[in-house]
Amino acid sequence: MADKDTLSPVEGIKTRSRHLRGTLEESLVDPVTGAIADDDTQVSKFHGIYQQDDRDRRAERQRQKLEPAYSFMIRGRLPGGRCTPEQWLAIEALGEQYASTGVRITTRQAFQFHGVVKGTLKPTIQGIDQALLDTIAACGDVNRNVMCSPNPALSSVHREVDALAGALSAHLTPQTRAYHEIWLDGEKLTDAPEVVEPIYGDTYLPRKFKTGFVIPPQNDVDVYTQDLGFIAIVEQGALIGFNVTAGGGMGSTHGDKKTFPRLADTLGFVTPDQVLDAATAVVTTQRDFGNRSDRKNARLKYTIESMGLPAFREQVETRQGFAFAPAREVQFNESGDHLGWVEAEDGVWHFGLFIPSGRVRDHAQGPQYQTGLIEIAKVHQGEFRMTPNQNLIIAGVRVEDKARVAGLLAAHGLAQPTSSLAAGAMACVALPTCALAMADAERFLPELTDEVSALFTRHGLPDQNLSMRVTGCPNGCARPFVAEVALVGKAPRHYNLYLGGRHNGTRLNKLYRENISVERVLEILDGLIASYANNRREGEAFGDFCIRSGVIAETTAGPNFHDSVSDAA
Amino acid sequence: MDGTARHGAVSRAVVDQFEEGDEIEVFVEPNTRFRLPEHGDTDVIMIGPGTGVAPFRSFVEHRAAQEATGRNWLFFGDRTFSEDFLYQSEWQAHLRDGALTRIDLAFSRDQQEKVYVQDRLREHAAELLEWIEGGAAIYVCGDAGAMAPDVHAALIEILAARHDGDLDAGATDLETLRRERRYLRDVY
Ligand SMILES: NC(=O)c1ccc[n+]([C@@H]2O[C@H](COP(=O)([O-])OP(=O)(O)OC[C@H]3O[C@@H](n4cnc5c(N)ncnc54)[C@H](OP(=O)(O)O)[C@@H]3O)[C@@H](O)[C@H]2O)c1
Ligand code: SF4
Repeated sequence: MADKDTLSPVEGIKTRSRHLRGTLEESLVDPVTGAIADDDTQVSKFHGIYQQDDRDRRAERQRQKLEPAYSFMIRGRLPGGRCTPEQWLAIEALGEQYASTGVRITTRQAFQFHGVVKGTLKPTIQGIDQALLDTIAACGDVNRNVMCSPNPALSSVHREVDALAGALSAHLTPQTRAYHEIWLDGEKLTDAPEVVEPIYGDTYLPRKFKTGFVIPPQNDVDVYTQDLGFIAIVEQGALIGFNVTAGGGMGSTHGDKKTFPRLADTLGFVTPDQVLDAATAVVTTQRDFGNRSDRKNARLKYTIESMGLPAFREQVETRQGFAFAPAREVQFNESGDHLGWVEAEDGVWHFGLFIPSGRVRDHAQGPQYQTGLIEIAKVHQGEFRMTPNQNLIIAGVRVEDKARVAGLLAAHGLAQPTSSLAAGAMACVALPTCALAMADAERFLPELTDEVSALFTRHGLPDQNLSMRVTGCPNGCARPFVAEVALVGKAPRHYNLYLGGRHNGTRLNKLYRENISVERVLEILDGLIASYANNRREGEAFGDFCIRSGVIAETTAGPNFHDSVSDAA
Repeated sequence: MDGTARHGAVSRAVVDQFEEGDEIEVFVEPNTRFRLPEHGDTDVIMIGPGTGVAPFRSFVEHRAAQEATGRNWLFFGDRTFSEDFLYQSEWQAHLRDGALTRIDLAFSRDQQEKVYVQDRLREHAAELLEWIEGGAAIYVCGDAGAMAPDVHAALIEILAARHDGDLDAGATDLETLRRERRYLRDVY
């Protein structure tokens, strides 16, 4: 670990940034490069803007004496993934005009564009602003987009929980005027307030911070992977409060055992009116106790490990000014989304649309996601909800409109439910866009789900449910370490294989084999699936079977993620 | 062409006329007139859109090697920033280490309206005049058909500003610069 007293370089950048201004304005008008200044690449993240380059073209461009093909990813902040059909149309139009790859739905219920060049960043952000949306704090060392179960069945509870998610998002949004000044040509105030950031302070958080609200029994937001989680407790159809969880997180580094994925601890129960205070207390505790020297040990999960849970809880309780009530019993049945038509308790209908890797595009011979959704948005009276698994819920369809929406879905090839295996699978962006990727994820997922689907079919289990996730690196953007089967990139077409997560996102998996080829992965899965087909117990999920049959040791807590890994790995 | 995959006027002719393996003779006609100023402390203004930028690479390198104290200002233009910024990484490095004082860019097809190097010249007319009055030499390289005459006209306009916009007087000034070998062109 880095010397406790040496601040990480990013801390210096935050300090010098004058509340997230940096030299972004100068960078934007520098005509010689499509990049922004190095320090500004850190600052821009807090504005939801991430510099990337096309890695497939690096070598070729270097030979041509051209700098890398820089462009930017822009990510929205949409608490609970909600937007109106009008906003959807605006986002689509912006994606069409400025982004090279169209709109993508992220694993945190936001839209994301890739391939926006420097010169069009400003008009893109201004277009997003005109649609009454923003990208503030979508990345960076702050609270990111607040997630919320888009649970379609429980309309009244969803409304309440969703409103709280929105309120918390607003509460934890950075207060600096930098975003308005830089992107929206907002006035530069001369008499800045004395305290610019009442919650974050001048250097924000030590590391990214993720918050999610979940409505059981569906663990669609993977609440235990969030830094801060609120699990809705519903009694007789009414929301009575939340279990508060803290210290989840996926990110880790290959080969560095001081880093590990971790599931959140439950702190206790709060009533709805205590949510903002509890969140503020957790965030400020992390602000003051988090590690600012070593960014690999800076997430809240490590803060809790180093303080110890009792001391952490006590600190939070002191700050919030009340003690947690004892946590309530909760039951989750599965992660993932409800797909297809669901009738909600109030008689309104919702359609969960599966979108492979969240890529809203028209497939040459297949489903027309982009066109179909544009057509639906033009007539839809309800709203859209982007889901935590990169799908989309067409929410609030009145009975009398259902046939029309269903017709549009069918006309664009969107009505068919896909295999349950594909629906339960998720991948991150990875190559060629993400600088950290060591292998393909999104581009590889269709091949993987086809192959694994075929294996289950061959062993007599054609409709198998499985949570299977692929990421290009152990940063874990698609939350791989809770999946029953996870592949995490090591090198092109080589992955670490993890097994033994629980299908409802409440148990971490463990490394089974390191750095093996895709072919080897499939060989191994073939053997395991054969054995599962023959020896599983009634209703036993694949991840549970892997543990019971001794294929893999159970990971009972984050810090023992690296323990009991087989020598064969 | 060094570093770029496109067919220039010459390479296209070569490809059209010859089979692979044919031996061809290439003559490089040394342009003895298109030379850097005698004194290293003279400022240099280089105008070279498209392939016209080629000689300015060696100009800037040569000046750096000489440790010339004069400033170097490049006007470059081409079709698009992302694909046609010839020798981009070299110019970036020269700007960083100071060998190139300044660069102004005109990418003609990145927006609706065409933007050419002469538009950039006009935008920076006042500073250009300062450089010229301080003894700077002007070099133009590239297309002889349209670019060079248009740049010529822009320079006359800029110089005319010293004479209440009298274009004839501006033209006389430019002719004087040419005779003093402070306005040199290598156009084709
Ligand atoms: N196949 C290709 O992709 C390709 C690419 C570049 C060059 N070439 C060929 O290579 C040869 C030489 O190319 P080059 O790079 O020297 O020149 P070029 O590519 O023809 O032109 C360089 C730049 O000068 C601009 N320009 C056009 N008219 C001008 C004027 N009157 N004043 C100032 N600038 C003007 C061009 O803009 P606009 O062209 O936008 O008007 C372009 O931005 C030409 O025959 C050209 O056709 C082919
Ligand atoms: S998991 Fe790694 S490779 Fe995938 S998007 Fe996140 S950082 Fe990139």
